[in-house]
Amino acid sequence: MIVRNAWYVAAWADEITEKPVARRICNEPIVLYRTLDGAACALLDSCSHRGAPLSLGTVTEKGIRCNYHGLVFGCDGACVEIPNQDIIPKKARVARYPLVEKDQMLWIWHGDPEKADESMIPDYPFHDDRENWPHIHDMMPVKCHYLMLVDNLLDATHLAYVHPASVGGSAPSVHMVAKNVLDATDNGIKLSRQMSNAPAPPVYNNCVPFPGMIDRWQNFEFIAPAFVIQYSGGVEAGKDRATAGAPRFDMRIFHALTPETDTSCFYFWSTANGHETDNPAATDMIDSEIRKALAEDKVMVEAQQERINEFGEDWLVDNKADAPRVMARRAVAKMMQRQNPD
Amino acid sequence: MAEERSFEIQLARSQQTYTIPADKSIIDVLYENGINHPISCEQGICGTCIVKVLAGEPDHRDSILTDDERNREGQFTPCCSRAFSERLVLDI
Repeated sequence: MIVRNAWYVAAWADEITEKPVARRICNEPIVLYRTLDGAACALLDSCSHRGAPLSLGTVTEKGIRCNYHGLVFGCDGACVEIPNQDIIPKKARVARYPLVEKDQMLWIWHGDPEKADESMIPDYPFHDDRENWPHIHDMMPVKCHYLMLVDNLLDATHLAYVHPASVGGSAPSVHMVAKNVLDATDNGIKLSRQMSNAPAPPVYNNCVPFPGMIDRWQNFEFIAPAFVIQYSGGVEAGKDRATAGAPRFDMRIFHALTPETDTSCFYFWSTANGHETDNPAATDMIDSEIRKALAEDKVMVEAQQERINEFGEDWLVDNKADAPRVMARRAVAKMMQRQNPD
Repeated sequence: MAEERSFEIQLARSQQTYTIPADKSIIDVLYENGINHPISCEQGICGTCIVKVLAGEPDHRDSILTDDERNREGQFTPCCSRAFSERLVLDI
């Protein structure tokens, strides 16, 4: 279920330089690079001459040069130079993909370039708000279908089992009885969970020691097809979240899942610190704690994908707690259906 | 939990009518009558059993259908949902 007429995160903006990067996205090999002027480009990673990967090439003043026979291509995919040849055939070009730099990410469009509407890119102003939300970002390849990570993010009941030592850290019952509010949006869902008078999970306590029980919140917005915007935190039990001072924990996570193939994806995430904004060590602490949790998820979802490869999904039976992920998948299916009405 | 009440369903394709007693689901009664409508989670989560309501006033008990899907598209989960009206006509 890969929606083609959609924006996906191809890379963090700071990952891509004049040195070409090869990345398979939506089952197509892509080369990502910057021109000497700093503009980010995305082309099919295969030269129109003999098919060699352009990612083995070099960025020059005129464009990206294939390092097999020296053909040079511009950001629009057209060949601009063939060594020792005056004629450049009109068909000598490679597919180019619309690529937009926004909120410190490079967004790629795989569908019809005519339909690439930049206003469809989700807004995430926190990446540029270093003063109030200092953050750390990274990417991790995961060998699972990208929606399995959306499932994982929208399912809080795994926290107690997969993450007891990190972001979970409570008896399963705390997560099972959390107050959930689930709403459909125009392009996804919103899920908010509130756990009152709960023990602080290890991550929270490692970052901000809490003397006693806390009131926790986890707000998730899923934007089809591949983004989860999370705001989680906690204050001392009984205090007003809007006004409570320290000790409190405020964390924003941006999750973008980009399909690589039908059974693998790139997980781009950022973790932002909203409670101790002038302390870089606090930002590092959140990052290292969340990294632990993501590594725990990776082990489970990759093993899960292996079983799904073997047995399929048709026989699987949903739990009560699967409503958010089912709604999210239905939103993706609807997006696909709108694009391919048959 | 309020006490359930019984109601009738009519299957539009076969024109058969069945009574759903207070202690059984629509799906239970369909199965008892040899109608193997697809089901999975039995609690309005997975969407496997979704059918269209053609007439009557449904009492939705699922957790996944949007207002638009319920009201405009007439989607309905017979595994757990019931009826406010005396009769529901389903597109089965």
